[in-house]
Amino acid sequence: MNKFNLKKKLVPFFFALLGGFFVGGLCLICCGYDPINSYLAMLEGIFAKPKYMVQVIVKSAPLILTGLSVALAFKSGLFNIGAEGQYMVGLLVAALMGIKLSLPPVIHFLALFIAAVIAAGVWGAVAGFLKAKFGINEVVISIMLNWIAFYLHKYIFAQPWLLVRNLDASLPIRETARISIFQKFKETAQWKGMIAKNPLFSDIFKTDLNIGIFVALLAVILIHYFLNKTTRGFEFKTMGINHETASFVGMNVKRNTVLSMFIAGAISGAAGAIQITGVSPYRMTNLAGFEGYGNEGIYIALVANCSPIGCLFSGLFFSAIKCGSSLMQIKVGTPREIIKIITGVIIFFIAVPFLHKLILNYLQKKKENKLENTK
Amino acid sequence: MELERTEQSLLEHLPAKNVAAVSMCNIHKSFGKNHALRGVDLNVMPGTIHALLGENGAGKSTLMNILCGFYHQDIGFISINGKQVNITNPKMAIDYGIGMVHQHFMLVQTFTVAQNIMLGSELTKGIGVIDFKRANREITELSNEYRLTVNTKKKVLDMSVGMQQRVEILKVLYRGAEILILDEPTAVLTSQEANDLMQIMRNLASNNKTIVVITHKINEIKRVCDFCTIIRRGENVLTVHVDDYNEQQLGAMMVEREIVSVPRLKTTKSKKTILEIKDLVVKDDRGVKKINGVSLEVKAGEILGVAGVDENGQQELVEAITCLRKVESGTIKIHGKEIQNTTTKNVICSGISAIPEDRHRSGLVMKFSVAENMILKRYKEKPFSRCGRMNKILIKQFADDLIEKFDIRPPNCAEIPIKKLSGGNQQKVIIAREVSNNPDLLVAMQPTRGLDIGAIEYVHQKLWEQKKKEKAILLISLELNEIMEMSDRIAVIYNGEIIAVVEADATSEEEMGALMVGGGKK
Repeated sequence: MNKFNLKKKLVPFFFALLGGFFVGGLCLICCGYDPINSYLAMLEGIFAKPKYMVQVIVKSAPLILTGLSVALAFKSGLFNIGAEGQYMVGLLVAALMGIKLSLPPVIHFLALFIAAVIAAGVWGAVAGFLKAKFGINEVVISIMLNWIAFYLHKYIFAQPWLLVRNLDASLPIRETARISIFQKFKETAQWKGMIAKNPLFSDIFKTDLNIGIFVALLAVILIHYFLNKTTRGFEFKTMGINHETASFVGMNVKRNTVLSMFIAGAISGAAGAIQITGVSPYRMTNLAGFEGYGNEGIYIALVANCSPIGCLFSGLFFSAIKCGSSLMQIKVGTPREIIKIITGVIIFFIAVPFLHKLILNYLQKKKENKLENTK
Repeated sequence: MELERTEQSLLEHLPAKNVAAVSMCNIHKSFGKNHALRGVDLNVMPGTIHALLGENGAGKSTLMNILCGFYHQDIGFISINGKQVNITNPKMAIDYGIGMVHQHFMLVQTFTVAQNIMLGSELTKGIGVIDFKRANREITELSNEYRLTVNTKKKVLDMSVGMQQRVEILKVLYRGAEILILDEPTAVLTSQEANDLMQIMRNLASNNKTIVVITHKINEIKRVCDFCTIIRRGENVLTVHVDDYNEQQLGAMMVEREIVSVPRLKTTKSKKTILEIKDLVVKDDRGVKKINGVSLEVKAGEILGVAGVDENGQQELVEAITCLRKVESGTIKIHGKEIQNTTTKNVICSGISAIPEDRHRSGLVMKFSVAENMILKRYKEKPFSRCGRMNKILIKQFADDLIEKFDIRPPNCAEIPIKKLSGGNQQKVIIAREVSNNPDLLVAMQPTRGLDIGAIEYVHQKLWEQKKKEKAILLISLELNEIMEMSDRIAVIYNGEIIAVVEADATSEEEMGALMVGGGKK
């Protein structure tokens, strides 16, 4: 029964995938690019070298986390469009603590990580609180909070004690706070020699390999466990489907609304923290607009059907096509913006859940007709 | 044996020259493995009101959906006015003069009556200009002809449910329907509206329209219908002339067993007050006082019925007791302890359980399994969860136990989503949940709404069991029969006030009817 259910859930996803790449291909043809070569280059950009694969994994960590954040809120009946702002608050707090504090390694990261998670959690909980207390729609509040976070980022970034002149970037965070793996080893002479001998190692070491993916994995497992095994998770799911029943059976819907938004914010904040501590240049840059990790979380959660495990795979998938598109642009010259079209079409197909049924029915009928004709 | 007799008596009633308006013969229909209809026959004479009686899931609606062209039968044939037809889509059914009024109305709320009725068959003058004047005139004429008294220029959202239903009827008449199918038409109506509807049905029949009513309300069949076809599990049992049978007999034929109305248990003269409400004032969402100084007492081992027309404060009363709504002033005490304006959790812990009015909206989580719905109130209790971790195995055992004890069907349904269960069985799940934690007070709001007679009987038995256990029950219902049958004492609520509390034995339906519309108020 379980297997059957899984199949039932995956079929529409693969249909959406096919649809996305098909429509994307049509667009490429219209613009005079070769879709097959483009897609092959994209695949190459994902799988051809271990470096690429590592890059996909590294880039997927913040996406998985923001996806998870949106998914958890969705499960409890809330639309966390504020993942972007929460991500930014997490990044900001982590950056400040990473630059200003001086602590031993590991402890430094743990301290700033916890602070970032709590700060972003509170940022999210503000929307939850206003919804619970005054019934204000969390979507509106979250969008406003996103902009507040954005300009807060700009304001702090503009402080002279943070800025490096002529670079348009902040000071880097201290090395004690960084979470890149093998960072130290790379610089020792002994390892340098070894890296030079072994191209596989040198390849991987060129990337920003960091522990972010393990944080994301841990979060996926924790949230999966939380939703399926704990009483609080049960309350979240109940109010997510039917909040009237939830209050009727004595659940504290208001408190859970705040709590849900807090946890969702915290997860997004974690994404921000691992991004600044794990990816070079370990600095804040002057933002022209939103980085988009939070907003990408929305469609990652949607494609994952709000399942935590699903977020893991959908995060990896979107990270993969993002990374693969770089090589596609370099090698074939196809503009990487095509992945936005593909993503859009995939979401469209997933949002129309009966579409794959229509197609399947049509194919079935055709098959039957053929059989009859041959008879 | 009895069957032969009835068939004969039926024939005697029929004028020989008439041809059936609708004749469905040996209809079979299956959905996958589920054999919904197994050879059903239906003959409806023109100008008559014909009831289709059966429990939930007996196949009534499937049969009518076939007639309306939503489904196509696997075997069998249909003739309209003696001519065999093959109805393959709803449009064809309309062309044959068949119109259906669904239980859930399909009206555009912001449109006027005339706009709604024209929708899909707009009258135009010139190229695409709608001729509202003519449409209004035609619809008004039609409305007057059948005494529907519908104002065609009014917007649907300003109309009562009863009037909206008339608009639906007018809509099918406007499309030239000669055969009207009404699906559970009185389910959403107040008793006054239901009376009016029955009058309308009579008018229509006397204008030679043919009406088929899907229902499980036997008293209404007795009042308006000429014939009644009883369907049981996809097979039709028989067609009878309504006058030849009394309500008990019809009910028994529907559920295949005798309906015995259990004589009311005498109240043991208990002095122990469980629930005490004093001078309660509650406002609704718009700030209008919906409960205005209500005082009530419910004693152990007693069923207190609250009778009244809908929208007189019943909803707010229940919400106040369960702490889902703020109390402005006054007190609600259980066992002498004040509970108003605390939390629902506290109310539940104080020993109050409630059966909600709308089981889909506030009683169940339709996407959850049966087991998850059963544990909704007790998931935090040991041993179902420890340190915030739920024990799925114990919860399933608990659910299996209740499924067996409360005879919820299908058996072993603990892990099936509850939306796959029939309405009656969903209600059983709620009752199992609300009764299994042994509450001192059970607040039952419309506990039998939308259920068939077998399930109603079941719910009533469960309420009586509670009473036998010396528990207090507050029964709030819009069905006067139910209140009269079940209660020891009856409180009549009108305009947010309790205008009378009477002993059930010492009152009559007439007296109650008068009180419910404020007649007893000085």
